This record gives sequence, C-alpha cells and structure tokens, in this order.
Amino acid sequence: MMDGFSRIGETLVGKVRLLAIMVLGGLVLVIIVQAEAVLTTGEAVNRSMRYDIAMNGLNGKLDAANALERVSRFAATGAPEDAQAARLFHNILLSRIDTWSAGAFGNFVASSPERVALLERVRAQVTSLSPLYAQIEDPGVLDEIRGTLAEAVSGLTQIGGQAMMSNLTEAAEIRETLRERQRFQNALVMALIVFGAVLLAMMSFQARGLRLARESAERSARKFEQVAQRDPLTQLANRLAFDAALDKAIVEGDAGAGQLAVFAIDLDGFKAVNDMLGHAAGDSLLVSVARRLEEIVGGWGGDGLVSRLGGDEFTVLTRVPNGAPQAKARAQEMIDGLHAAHGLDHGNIVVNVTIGFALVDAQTVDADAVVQNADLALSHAKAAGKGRSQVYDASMREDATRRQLIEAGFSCALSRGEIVTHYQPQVEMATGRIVGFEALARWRHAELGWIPPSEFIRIAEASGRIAEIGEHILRSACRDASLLPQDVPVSVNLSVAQLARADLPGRVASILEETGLPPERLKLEVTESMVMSDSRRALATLRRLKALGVWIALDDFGTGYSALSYLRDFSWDELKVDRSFVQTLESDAQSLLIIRSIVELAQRLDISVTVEGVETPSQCALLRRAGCRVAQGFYYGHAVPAGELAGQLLRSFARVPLLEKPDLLGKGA
Amino acid sequence: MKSLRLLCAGFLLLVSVLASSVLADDAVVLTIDGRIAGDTAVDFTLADLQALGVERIETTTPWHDGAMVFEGVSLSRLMEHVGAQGDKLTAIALNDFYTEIPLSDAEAYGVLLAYRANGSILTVRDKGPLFVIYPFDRYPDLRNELYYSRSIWQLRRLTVK
Repeated sequence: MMDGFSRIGETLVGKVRLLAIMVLGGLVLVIIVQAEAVLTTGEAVNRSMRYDIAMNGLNGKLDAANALERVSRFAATGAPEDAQAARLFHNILLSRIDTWSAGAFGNFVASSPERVALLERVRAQVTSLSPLYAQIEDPGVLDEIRGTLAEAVSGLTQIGGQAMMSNLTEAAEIRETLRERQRFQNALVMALIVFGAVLLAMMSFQARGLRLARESAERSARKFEQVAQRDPLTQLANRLAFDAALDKAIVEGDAGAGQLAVFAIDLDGFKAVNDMLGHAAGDSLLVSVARRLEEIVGGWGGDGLVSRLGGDEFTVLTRVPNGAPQAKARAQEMIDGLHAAHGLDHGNIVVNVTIGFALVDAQTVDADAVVQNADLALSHAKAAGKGRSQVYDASMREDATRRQLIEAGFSCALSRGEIVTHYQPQVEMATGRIVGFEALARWRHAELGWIPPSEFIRIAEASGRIAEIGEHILRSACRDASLLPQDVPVSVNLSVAQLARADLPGRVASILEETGLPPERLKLEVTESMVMSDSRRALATLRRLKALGVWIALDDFGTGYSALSYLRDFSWDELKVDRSFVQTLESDAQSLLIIRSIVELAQRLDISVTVEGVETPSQCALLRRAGCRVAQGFYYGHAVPAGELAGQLLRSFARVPLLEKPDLLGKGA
Repeated sequence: MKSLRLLCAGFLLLVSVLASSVLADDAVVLTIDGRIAGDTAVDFTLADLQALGVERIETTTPWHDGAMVFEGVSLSRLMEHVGAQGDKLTAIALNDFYTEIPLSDAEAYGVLLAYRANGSILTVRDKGPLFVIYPFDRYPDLRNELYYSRSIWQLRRLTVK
C-alpha cells in the first residue's frame, strides 16, 4: 500500500514537472513576444519623434507671409532699410523653398506629383522676382512683386497646410499604433500574470505533494517503528522495546522511585493448552494474560512495562520502592491475578504461572545480566514446583556457572576418560553371592571434582550429550564384564535418547561383538516413562534388542503410572522395584504388601525381580520374607571401579560351596 | 539702343543682387548678450568667428540630401570666449525664429556654429550666415524633433540665460 502511494506520488510529481516545463516555456514565449512588442512600440515612438514636417510647413507659411509683409511695409514707408529687409526676407523665402525641395520635406513634396508641380511653379515665381527686387523702388516693379508674391504665398500656404495635414494624419496613425501596442502589451502582461499564477499554483501544489509524501513517509516510519517494537499478537512491547526500556531505566538510576525489578513470567502447561485446544485458543489465552498483566501492572501506578518476549514468556519491568518484599508481593499478586479463570471463546481456562524475578542493585549495571538473573530465578522456581515465585540470589548464578562448566566439559571428559563406569553389585540375599552388577557413570571433573550422576546426567540429557555418554558406559560395561572371572551379567541403563534411535539394536550388537560379551550377560534397563512417550516404537526397538539375546529390565517399577498393560505388551526379563518402596518398608506396612504383590505378580509372569536401595539388615530381612531374591544397595556395597570387581566376585563366591553355583540367569527364583 | 540699355540694367541688377547676397567683411553676423563677461552685448563678424578656430562636423540632416561637411566655430569655444555664466541659450534667427539650447549641449555633443558647408560660405539662401549643427550621425539619439528644433539656421543672436 505504501508502495502504491509512493508510485502515485511519483507519477503526480512527473506530471507536475511536465506542466511546469510547459508553463515555463509559455512564459519564455510571452517574454520574447513582449520584447518584440516593446521594440515595435519603440519604433512607433521613434517615428513620432522624427522630423516634424508640420513645423517646417508652418514656418514656410510664415516666411511667405513675412516676405509679402516686408514688401508692403516698404510700399508704405519707402525707407531704404525696409527695402533691405524686403530683400533679406526674399532670400529667406528662397532658402525655405530650397529647404522644401530637399531632405525630409523634399520627400513629402515628392510623394505627390501635384505638390511637386505646385512647388516648382512657386519656385519659378519667387525666383523670377529676384531681379525685380533690385528695382523695388520702382512703383511698377513693386506692384509686380506684390502681385506675384501674393500668388506664391497662396501656393506656399497650400503646401504648408498639406504638410500639417499629413503630419496630423501620421500622428493619428502613430497614436493608433501605440494604442494597439498598448492593448497588446496589456494582454501580454495578463498572460504573464496568468502563467505566473499557474506556476505559483503548481509550485504550491508540488510543495503540498512533497509535504504529503514526507508525512506519509514519516507515518510509515512511525508504523514500522511501532511494528518493530510491538508483539503483533498481544500488542505488548517486544523484546527489543523491553531491552530498550530496561537500558533506559538502568541509565536513569533509582531517582527515588525505587529499585527496578524484572519479573520473568512463564505459563505452566501452556503447551498442553496449545496441544489440546489448538493454537487459536493458545493465542487467545496469551492475549488474555497480556491484558490481565497490563491491568495488574497498571494498578501499581508508575510506569511499569509489560512485554512478551515470545511463546508464553512474559516480562514485567517495574519499580519497587520497598525492595524485595514488595517485589515478592507483586509476583504473588500476578500469580493470583492470572490464576483467575480466563474466559475465552473456547471456554474458561485456568492457568498457573511461575515467576522468577530479580532486582537491579548498585552492582547490576548490565541489562542482560538482570534478565538472566530473572530467568535463572524462574528456572529455579519451576524446578521447585510450578505456580510459585522465586527471587534471584547469587547462588543461582553459581549453579548456572557450574552447569555451564559441566555442559562444556562433556567432550573433554569423554575423550580424556574422566567419565568412568563404576559397578554396584547385585546380591542374592539368601547366600550373599554376587549375581550381577549395575553399571553406573561416574565423573571426576578436573576442576569440580566428583560430580553426582543425578546432576550431570540431567545436564547431559538437556544438552543432547546423553546418547554419547550412554554408549560410552555401555561399551565399557560390556568390556569390563567380559573380563570378569565369573559369568555374571551386567546391567546398563539406557537413556531415552538412545532408545529413540532406530539403530540402537545394531549398535548394541556391534559393541557385544567388539567386546566379546555374550548377549545373555547384558541387561538393558529402561524406565516406564521412556517407553510411554512413543510406546509402539520403543517396544519395537526393545523387541529387536531382546531378539539379540539381551535381557531387558523395567527400571524404577512401581512409580509413575505403573500401567500393567506394559507387563502384558512386552515380555520383560526383569523388574526393578523402585527404591522408594524399600526406604518406607520399615515405616509403612503398605510398602511391604506392594512389594510382595509385585514379586508374586512377577513370579506368575515368569519375570525376575531385583529390589534397589537396600541399606539395612532389617530391610533385607523384610524383603527376604516378602519373597525377594536379589537385591542391590549400600548394604551390599557401593559402586566400585572395574578393577575391584574381580576381587569382590571371588570373595562372594568363596562364601558358598562352588557346587552351589548360583542361578546366574536369576530365573525361576 | 534699347537693347543696350536693357543689357546695362541687367548688369547693374546682377551686381546689386550679388552685393545683397554676399555680406561685406565687416558685417556683424552674430550678437551675443545676456550673462556674459562684462554684461554688454558682443558683436562678431565672420572674421572674428573664424579667428576662434575651425571645427568640422560631417553629418546628414533632415534638410539636406546626402551627407554634408560643416565647418565653423565650436559653440563651447565661443561661450568660453564670451565668458558665458548661464545654463541655457536663447537663439533668434533672421526671420525671428526662436529656440532654446541648453548650454550643456555645447560640451556634450560638440555643437557647431557652422558658417561653411561643403567648402562654401553659407549665404542667407543656404541657411547662413550661421547654422547651429549637431552631429546627428555620430549621436543617433539626437535624431529627433527636440534637437532638430535646436538646430536653428540663419542664426542672428544668442542670449545667455
């Protein structure tokens, strides 16, 4: 759309440009015509200024009259000076006639043959008087002069009159020309004004166009900025806007408004909402959560900022004048507020949220660090149980650092052999003989020392290294077992990542071949939860493993769902009863009953049973009475390195006659 | 005899005509008065004027066919000579024609009081004895009614005002 606008703008500007060029061309044309008009007018004016024959004509008439008058005066006075004057004026008249015959006046006379003839007649008459002027004292001559002169004066007056008429006509023509020119020039000036006005109008139009284009560009820039700073779904600030606001708030400092607090908020079970009700419902829930958060944060006053970083991760930035306790209270307020049912088109949904929060103190100047702290607190809150809030403390960062250290150390640990396999014996309770070992991973970190398996296995699972570690343990267990003096089996735990790989049976087979361990001496342990996630595939893989001759054990039996259907769907070789039953054996009569039932059930299904976590003689006694045969736990020994196995094994076998060789396969107990 | 008498009369007439048209050497051709040195009118004969030096203008005029060569005295030289104090001249011709000439024209255009044209002394019949001449060809701007009217011929008197 923006594109369309700019295109329209471009064509408009193009048209206006063309018009402007045309108008300018018109303007230039008008100016040229105007210049030409001025030139023509100038010519007319010049013509009007040219020699004025009227004046010459008038003076000629006067000269003629004067000549006659001087002669008459002499006739009256007879004075010699008047005779002299008469002669002078005769000469002046002759001179005038010469003037009328040459130059501009000559041209005027020549324009009419009658006028030429008339002037020639007058010239002849006046010239003929010249000899007579010498005898002017003679009265007869004087009369002749007066007679002839009177005729000549009449002719001269006629020509002089004509000159004046001609001059008047020409003047009238010139006036008319000038008037016309003036009208024409007025029209040109009007045209100039019109062109100028059009040009001005176009310029202002173009200026308006440019202004509109600029405004449109500014608008789109603002919109883009908004888009860049907004989460499109909830219209909350996005990560960019949140980071900017946090940076700004940190730079501004406390300013008496209280410490800055960053809350990291996570919806519990949001994935389930998405999976079960669809993404539309998930989105509606996010919007509802967003509105409610804004409502809650708005209620605190001040300039709190709610943002959505993505998924179901929300953050709240606010100032807490009363520090951590107030932040905690506000976190609880949000948990409670968001827990109230969200009325969506899909029905009411109740969600729990978990909140981690961190305060900005004098030491914290890094916005990223604050957000990380809040996230760490959130992780801890989640780990501790959902629907609660947790403030960040420095130990969390230590944990995180340790976790990073552990995660980064896996590659080295495997290549340097820091991760080793230890073995915990499984003992036949009746005889005390060792009937098997469980392989357990142990890691002595170069910096951190011994790392509990529960810790690094979890990290390995999260970081995707567990399959590697699992295979490493499996290989070393097979090799170590193959070197034992007795043919006791070894149990190895499988991880969900290993089980998910379709080539697991092939890899197990090649390890067995590589180490020379007979398949029936390898027990692979899986938990119920591992099978649950994709049970059809998992069970298929287990069947292929079983087909190799490997034993398959169900670990931690009795916890989780303990769906008995799994006992039907797969022919397990062994059940390992979860240690939680053993631990409560002495205090809870139910536990004993459950173990007895499991043992009985297993016997009927022809599955052997091992109990884990046996730590005391009384536990041992109770379990034996419950029908358990094989047990594992500290009471019988901790996990030890492979090197000690042979000794342990030989010692345990030494307790009983060799003839009473234990049923190593543990079946038919 | 009658024819002889006629012949004699014709000869006498010719002499008198010649005498009337050719001025005597001591005849006054120009009088200058008004605001000049001494405040008394000064008369000039042709010889007086010629004594002030000869200037020359070649130009066409509205009153002649073809270009003419005029010779005479420079008006500014003449004004200097009489010690003129004013800023304009009134000029009067033999036939009482009257015109006014700004004194500044004399300097600006080199105005001439011509007494000779194409080598011949100007008679009354030739618009003499003095003819005010502007260099119309050299300054085309002068070719208009105003300057034509200042170009007085048969000049007789100048009054400095």
